[in-house]
Amino acid sequence: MNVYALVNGLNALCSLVVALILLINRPIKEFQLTYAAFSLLLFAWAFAYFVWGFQTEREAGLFWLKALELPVAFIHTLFLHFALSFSGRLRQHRVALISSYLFSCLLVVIHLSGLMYDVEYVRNRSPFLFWPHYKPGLFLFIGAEIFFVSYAMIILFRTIRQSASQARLRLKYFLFFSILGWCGGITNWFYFFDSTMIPPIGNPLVTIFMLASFYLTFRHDIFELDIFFKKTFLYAFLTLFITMIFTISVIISEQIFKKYAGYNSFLATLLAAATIAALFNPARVCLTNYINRYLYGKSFDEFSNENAQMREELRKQDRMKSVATLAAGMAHEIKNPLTTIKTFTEHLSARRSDPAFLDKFERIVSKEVARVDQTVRQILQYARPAPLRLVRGDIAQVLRETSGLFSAQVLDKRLDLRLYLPDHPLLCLFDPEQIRQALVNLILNAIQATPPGGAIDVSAASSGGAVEIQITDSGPGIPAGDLGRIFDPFFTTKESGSGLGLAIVQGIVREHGGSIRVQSKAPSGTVFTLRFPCPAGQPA
Amino acid sequence: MVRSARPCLLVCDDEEGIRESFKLILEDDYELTFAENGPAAIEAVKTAAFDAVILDIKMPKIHGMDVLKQIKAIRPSLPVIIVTGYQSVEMAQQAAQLGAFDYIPKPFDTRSVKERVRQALASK
Repeated sequence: MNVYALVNGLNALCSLVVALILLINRPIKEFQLTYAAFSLLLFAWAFAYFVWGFQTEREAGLFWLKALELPVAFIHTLFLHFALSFSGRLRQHRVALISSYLFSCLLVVIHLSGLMYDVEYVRNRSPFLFWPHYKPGLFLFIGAEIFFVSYAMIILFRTIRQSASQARLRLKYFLFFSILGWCGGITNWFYFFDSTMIPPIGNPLVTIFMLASFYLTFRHDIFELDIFFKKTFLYAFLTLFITMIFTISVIISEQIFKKYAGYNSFLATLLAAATIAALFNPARVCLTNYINRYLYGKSFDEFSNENAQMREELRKQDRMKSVATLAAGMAHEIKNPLTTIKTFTEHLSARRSDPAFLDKFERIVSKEVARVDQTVRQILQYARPAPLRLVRGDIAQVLRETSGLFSAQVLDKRLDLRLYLPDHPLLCLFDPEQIRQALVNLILNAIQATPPGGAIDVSAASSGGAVEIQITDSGPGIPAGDLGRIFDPFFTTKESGSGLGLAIVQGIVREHGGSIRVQSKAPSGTVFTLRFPCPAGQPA
Repeated sequence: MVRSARPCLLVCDDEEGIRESFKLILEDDYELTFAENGPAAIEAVKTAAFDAVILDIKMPKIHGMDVLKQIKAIRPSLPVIIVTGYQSVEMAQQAAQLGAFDYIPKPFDTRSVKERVRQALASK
């Protein structure tokens, strides 16, 4: 059985899965695409290696040998490409990357011309039946691989030093696993030079490298890997330590028993087990501290603090993104009224005696001031919602009361506002103030969207451990292109309106652990469905 | 439309406050026509001869950039000044590529509006 080739069979399978997962992931980033290409090359190499390892016919063996070396000519180039795009330095090192690609093409030519190794001088290197002897072209190949891979590693190392803490940790791990993987790959070189000291035992490290870097690429939250990495070390040492202690204890106990009480393997094992039981916890604590201190340079508490800080950093980044969205929206919502107020006040002294101007000043400026005030209040409500004050109550009653608030607008537009509520109360845990706010926003939207004489349906019912509220208007509907954006802060298609109403509704519903759905087909009205969970024990 | 001696400006903004602000700043020196949205501005440009256009970017119905594109298609030589609350380089570049003469950031002041309009008219 050729175990080396078998490992590469596993390698091929992993590489293919990794490449396919990356390729079906949309949208795909450039570094993910280059990693997919790199994985496909690894797959081609590992698969050909696997088949080659099991060949018994010379001709077929030589064919697969040739096939496996072809993708290898590009592996270091795609590694460099991936390392550059992963660390965001593609532009600065474009020349090196192009050179690497050209060199790979040259290596293919050298390989196909038969200058890489001597097929006449193929020997049996058990369990491989057809391992060739090197030719000068192989030196060029090895030289290129060492040069471009080292180049990629140096770039990664430099990037690590200049990166922010979170990116630094990610790159550090990537560099570590890259070195591990390439060291594994190098073990395939020695048989070419008649050296049988080192067999190709490093291929499993290639699999580890590939899976780890795939993980790092996809999961930006690297903390789990950190813990995994740490535990792997800890338990590997612990197992080694315990096995050693156990073996020594058994040998010593056996000797003691033999000498003083006759041979008794059961008692010897029992004594050894007791020693292990007594030593296990102190050994684990001691090893954890040792690993933390010498491998990570910090204690477990410091380590936890650092992770907590990184999580906080990520949360801050997320918050900054939503602040940026808010700021862009605010620019319009605040600057427009400010412009008006500024212009009117600039002209106030010159037109103090113009009654028409003063009328406009009073009407427009006060309207704009109210608008700024309203926007600021809405932003605060969106960005810093009041804490939930959950009370047990009848949500249907809140719907009745809220709908009643709109009787004037309903009359004005001759609308038919219909309520479909059950006779029994819909009891649930909710914050009446916030739910009322959400319903006001939704019903107001429905009234504004519905043309005079149209109908609005408001219904509520309990279904499957939840309360479902629907608000249906008979307005023109929302165009398909806008549906995905209606909950974005400041998105609006209305002539007037801040675009914060639906964002606030969504925030309130989410705070309650519920969901909001919108169905709309222009031009035939819109249905908003709110679903609030009412867990068992809370009759809906 | 009978052409008056004073230069004619078209001001397109969906907000009354901004339209009234431009009126306060410019009514003493120019003939002003107002449009409340993009389609109305495009229609006005088709039917009347203006010396310059002041155009808001964020408007319902049609985005200001699309209005600018259409105005430039109808009257390529008509100077258009865009008005925006977002002072981003990308937006300024995009507007310049589409043929905008200049842009006025909000909140604007009387002097800068007058100066930009004067420059736009001088460029014709």
